[in-house]
This record gives sequence, C-alpha cells and structure tokens, in this order.
Amino acid sequence: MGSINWTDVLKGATAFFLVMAGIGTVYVCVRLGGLLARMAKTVGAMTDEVVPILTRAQTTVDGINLELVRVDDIMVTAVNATKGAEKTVSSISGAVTAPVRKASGLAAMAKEAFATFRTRRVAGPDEAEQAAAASVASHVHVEDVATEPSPEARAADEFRAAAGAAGERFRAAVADHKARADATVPATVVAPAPPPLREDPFAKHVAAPTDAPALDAQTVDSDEHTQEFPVTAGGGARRRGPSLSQISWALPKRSVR
Amino acid sequence: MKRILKVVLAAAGLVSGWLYSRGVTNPKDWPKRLPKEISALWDDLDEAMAAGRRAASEREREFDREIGRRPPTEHD
Repeated sequence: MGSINWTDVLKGATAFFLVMAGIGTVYVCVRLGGLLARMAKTVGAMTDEVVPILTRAQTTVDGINLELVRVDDIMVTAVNATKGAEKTVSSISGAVTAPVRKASGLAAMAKEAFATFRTRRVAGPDEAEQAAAASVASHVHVEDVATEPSPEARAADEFRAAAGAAGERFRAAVADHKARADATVPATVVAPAPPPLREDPFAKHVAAPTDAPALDAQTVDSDEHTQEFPVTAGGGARRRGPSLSQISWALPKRSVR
Repeated sequence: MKRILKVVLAAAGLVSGWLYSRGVTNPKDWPKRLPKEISALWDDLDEAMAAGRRAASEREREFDREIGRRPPTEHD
C-alpha cells in the first residue's frame, strides 16, 4: 500500500459530484418536460372550449344590439305617439274651451249689460254713472277702493266747512264793528279815500254765499286786528292783510287727534 | 189698411205708455221729450254694451286663469 494521493481523491470526488449533478439536471428536465406537456394540453383544451363560448357571446351581444335598436325604434314611436296625443288633446281642449270661454263671456256680458241698463233706467243718468264707475272699478280689481271719501278728502271738506263758518263769523264781526264805528264817528269827519279792495282770505276755500255781505276795504281796514307795518320810504304806515291774531281768531279751533 | 192702422195705433200706444212711464204725464211735452228720451235710451244702451264688453273680457280672463291656459293671441 503506498501513500494516498489526495489529488486523485479530489478528482474522484469532483467526478462524482458532476455525475450526480447531471443526473439531477436530467431529472428536473424530464419533470419540466412533462409539466410543459400537460400545460400545453390544458391550454389547447381551454382554447378549444373558450372560442365557441366567445363566438356564442358575440352572437348574443349582436342580438342584444339588434333588440336595442328595435327598442329605440319603439321608444321613438312611443314619443311620437305621445306628441300626437298631446297635440290631439290640446286641439280638443282648445276646441272645447274656446266655445265655453266665449259662452261664459257672452253670459257675463248679457248679465252685466242688462244690470247696467236696468240700473241706468231706474236710477237716472247721474246715479247710473256712479254705479257704472263702481262697476268699472270692480272689474279692474280695485277691490280696496273705499266707498267713503278718503281721509285727506274728508279733512279737506272739514277744513272748507270750518273755513266757511269762520268766514261767516269774520264777516259778521266786521259788520258789527263797522256799525259801532259808524255810530261813534261824528258826521262832520271826512273819511279818507279808501285803499284798494283786499282779497277775501276765505274766498279761495269756500264759495261766497250770494246773500253774504260783500267785504269792502274800509270795513276790513277798520278792524282793530289789522297789523300795521312801518314804511321807511313813504313815511307813515301801510297796512298789509289780517294780522296773526285776526287769523287765529277767525280760524276754527281744531282738536289734535 | 186696417192692419197698418192697428200697427200704427199700437206703436203710438206703446210710445205713449213708455213716455208716461218715464214721467212725462203731460202730452204737450211728448214731442219735446221724445227725442231726449230716445237719445238717453241710446246712451244707456251704449253704456250697457260697454259695461257688458268689460264684464265679458274680465270673465274670459278669469276663465283662462281657472283652466291655467294662456289667453289666445292673434297667432292662435
């Protein structure tokens, strides 16, 4: 027995390892080959089964599209039918309501015309015009128009009446004062020339009664309430309308609301 | 001829009755009041027709409002 050559041992071990690795590789390749064969078989079978399914699905989708087209046509037809029905209903409604509308208007016209004619015949033209005005006001929907005069108009009427009464009292007081002045003034005194007539302060508010005594300048100016204003240029005093006390005396005492 | 006479008499009677009902009791005033009464009658008729037209238009507007319909125009 000689000495062991370790190089030969290493070579032998390497050769054994390579043989074993080759065997393993071959085994793995054989198994992979089988697996790939089965996979190819499975893919082939799947392809054979899926393609007809896809074909049938495409056929179904085509049929569905065809049905959708038909449904679309049906919907268009239904919409057209609805429009036609709407037009028909509108036409029928117009054909029915127009005569009814006219008949209703004619009935209201006959009723109102007869009532107006009868009112005018019975009441006379003046009252009938008021009734016609009220009728017009009711037909233009002015329902809030009061039959009584407005507060402003009522206040104006009251003011005119009070001004008329105050004017009467004013004229009576002036006449009385004139009578007393005539009684006290001696006949030998020559009265100065009367100034121009002054406007009646109440004439613009009320119509002067026909039997009321006319105001003359002398009677008005002889009143003790007439206010005098000094005049610088002419030297003397000139008179200007009734004074404030005269006005406040003549006007009625109005109560505060 | 008699028929015409009857018609004329009937018309005269109606006119006389109408004037009497209007307060003209004196027949001497009839020739003077007859034109005035006829004029007043025509005025009343005109006023009545105007009031009737207003009422009719108002009623038609109410009718349109009730049925929710716009009033017809010239194009309708």
